[in-house]
Amino acid sequence: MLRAVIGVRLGGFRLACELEVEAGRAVSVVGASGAGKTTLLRCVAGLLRPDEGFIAWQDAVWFDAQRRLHVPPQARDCGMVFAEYALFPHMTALDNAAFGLQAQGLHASAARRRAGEVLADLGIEHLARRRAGSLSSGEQQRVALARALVCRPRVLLLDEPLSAIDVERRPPVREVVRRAILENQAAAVIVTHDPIEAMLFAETICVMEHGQVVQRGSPADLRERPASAYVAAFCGVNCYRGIAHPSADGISVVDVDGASITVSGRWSGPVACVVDPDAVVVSRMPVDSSARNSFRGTITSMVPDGAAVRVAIAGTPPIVARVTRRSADELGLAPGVDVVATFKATEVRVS
Amino acid sequence: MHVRARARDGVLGAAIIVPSAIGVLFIALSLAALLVHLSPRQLGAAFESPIVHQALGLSLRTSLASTLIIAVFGTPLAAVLATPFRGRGALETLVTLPVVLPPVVGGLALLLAFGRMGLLGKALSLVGISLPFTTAAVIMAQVFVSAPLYITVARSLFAHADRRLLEAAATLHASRTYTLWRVVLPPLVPALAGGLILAWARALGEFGATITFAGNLPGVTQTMPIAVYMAAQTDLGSAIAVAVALMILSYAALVAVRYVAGERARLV
Repeated sequence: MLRAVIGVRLGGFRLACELEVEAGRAVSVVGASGAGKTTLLRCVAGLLRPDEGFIAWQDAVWFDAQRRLHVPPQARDCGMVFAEYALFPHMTALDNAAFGLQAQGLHASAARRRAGEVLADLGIEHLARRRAGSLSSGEQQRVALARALVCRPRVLLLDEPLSAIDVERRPPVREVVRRAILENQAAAVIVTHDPIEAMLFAETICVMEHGQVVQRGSPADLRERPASAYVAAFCGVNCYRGIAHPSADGISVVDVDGASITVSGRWSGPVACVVDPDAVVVSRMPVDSSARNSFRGTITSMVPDGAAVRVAIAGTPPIVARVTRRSADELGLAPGVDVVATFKATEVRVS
Repeated sequence: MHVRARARDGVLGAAIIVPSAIGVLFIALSLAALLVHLSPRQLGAAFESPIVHQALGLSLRTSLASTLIIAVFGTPLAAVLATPFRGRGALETLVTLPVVLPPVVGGLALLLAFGRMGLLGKALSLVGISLPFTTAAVIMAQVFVSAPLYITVARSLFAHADRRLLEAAATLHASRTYTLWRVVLPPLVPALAGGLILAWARALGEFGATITFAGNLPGVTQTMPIAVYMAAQTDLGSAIAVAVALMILSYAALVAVRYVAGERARLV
């Protein structure tokens, strides 16, 4: 298990947070920019020495303020993907990916062979001979991932790892990362400002605000019982993972836990469906309409959000809707009330 | 408005162009004076005279040797000076001191350190080594005077290395030496070579420290600048010829700097 209790002061900014990640698991850390997410990663990697606390992976203590212990980054079994990639621009993609193994003394040819395999896993073996400086940002990001994964680190720190990759190309990359976490029994921390990415990567999400973790839990926890309006706004996006089957008339059906969601377009295999809370219509009774998706459930919480209210509905699947206060009042919406949530197939974003 | 803006532009433009033109004229006129006094026949003759041959050969050999020494010892020193540590500022000032010191003072200092009666010279003479007035002394004088030029350039290059790349290398288990070798150094090679050529050009023109520490022995310590000086005492014509030869070499060196540094040498 990765355990980190970190207190650090940087100018006027103060970071104080705790993090625990079990081997073989991933935790997503989300928050607006400036919340301290990257600082947290830098502390775990050893690039920044905290003022207080301790950091340990399994039995190995990496940092202990009381014992004045600070293991340098080179000696931590830890890999990092930087938000700005930080590839070595004069080297080829392959040499970048092989760098870590070569630095540890592996022979160049063996290091390159292993690096080539990882590039192939990520679908970029055709870029192997290109200089890193000449690659597009999406390509650079995948090379940066390869460079970190090649070393099979036991602690994997990913700072906005897919931000520059086209949405339709993300699922296979995500799979490679998830497989690496499982195979190496690594503890992964994924930092992102994109709540959907956070939900797709990890079972546990930490929301950071002003240098502190304000809530941690499963995506469903955060959706249904948000600790603050900020968390509600941040994590209140409906996101479902499931298996898609193409159906007739240019639509597909996605099987998610116990329910089927109809989406437009022809999709098959594992996908993620995202539904904006603003696209969900809430009614007391089932309505006859053209919308393909309609689900029953019970309201668990209602959080004010500007002129609107975020309504969390427990059901199969759980859904969050954003409705105006006036509609909420007129319909008599309140926790415990049974309602029907409806949205159109075309309102479902699939990736 | 337009007219006024244009007028102001004109004044500012003149404030830039006039001083620049005077600067260029000052340099160009002095150099042209050398060429005006020289016929191509004289230049050819100068290149064929044995004194020039000897001096030119010695200058090239010693300056290249000093450049090599500067590269081997100066690069690691510059890398050290680019990392923060206690007393770094004092060390850097010490290393760059020879740039502001008059070269003659440098030569004197070398003589007092390595001369027969010098600090280290006494010990060296016990083992039968005498440095002053040898070709080795010429190289030492050149290194002393021109190394700081390269070290300053290299230090500033190392100090501006991308921190993020160093951090990335650290998370990939690369030691600092390995990182220097594979991450920091390779992209800097052209700029470092530019710094080396600058140091080489300075070594080629070295006079004061050389004549003080190494003397003026034709074939052994009489380099091109010393040969020019000596010739000017007796025969101005041949002095000019040697001077022009030196100027052509220096010009080629600067063109090489610009070319290596990546800028197209448009002045060729």
